[in-house]
Amino acid sequence: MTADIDPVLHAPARLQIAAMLARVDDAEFAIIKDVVEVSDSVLSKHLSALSEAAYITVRKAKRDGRQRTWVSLTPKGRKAFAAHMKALHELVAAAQHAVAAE
Amino acid sequence: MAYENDPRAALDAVAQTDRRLAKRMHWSLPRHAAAGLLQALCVISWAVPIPLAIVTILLVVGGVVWISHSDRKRDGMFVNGWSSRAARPAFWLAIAATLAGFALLAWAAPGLHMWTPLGVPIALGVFVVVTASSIWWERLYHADLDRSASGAGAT
Repeated sequence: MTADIDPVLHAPARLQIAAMLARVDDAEFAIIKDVVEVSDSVLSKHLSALSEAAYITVRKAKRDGRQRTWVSLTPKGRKAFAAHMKALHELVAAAQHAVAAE
Repeated sequence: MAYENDPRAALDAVAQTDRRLAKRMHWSLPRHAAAGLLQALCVISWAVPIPLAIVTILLVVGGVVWISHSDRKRDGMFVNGWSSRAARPAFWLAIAATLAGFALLAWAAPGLHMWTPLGVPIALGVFVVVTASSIWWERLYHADLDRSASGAGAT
């Protein structure tokens, strides 16, 4: 893999979380868990890693008497996700080029 | 995981996320109509006396807050009209319809915040176009998700 690949987004679940958050303003923890299909603990771990990199913001809000966790992608996170996706597309294109050249 | 070193598999994982998201992202006709109603109210606020205009604008602000709250409660997420690049033509159409409504009112009314009977059909026109734009927005948003889910990449 090249230097353009973002190490924070390299983990598949983190990439999927970023891909989902890139499509919405914010999403609730339980919905992210359903879409990405990971356990609570795994999601918490990945959200911590993304938060440490300042790629996401996490806020708590009460709804129906229960505390909910809402997550959104920061501008830095959006930029990193776009760059990572571009790098992945370039790698795939380069691989296809190499196969075609053989 | 197997695809950590395979960019194609990583892109497939993103496509799978988009597929799952596409299944969840649907907005009802009343939800689209609510967007149209708020824009129409915004326009009509120019054609009513100032005290009523203030009430109308407060209604619009309250409506925006209610819509975002209701979307989050129902879907567990919120998407604003600007956030999808692929769906922006529909967003711009809604803005254009609203600006056209303001322009028509400025032309039809004797002055700002002065009533004209033409205010009703103008607001109705804005309501219809913005509601249609909102429905179109959802179609464009879904088309982009579907395109990405099929592996063609998102915009």
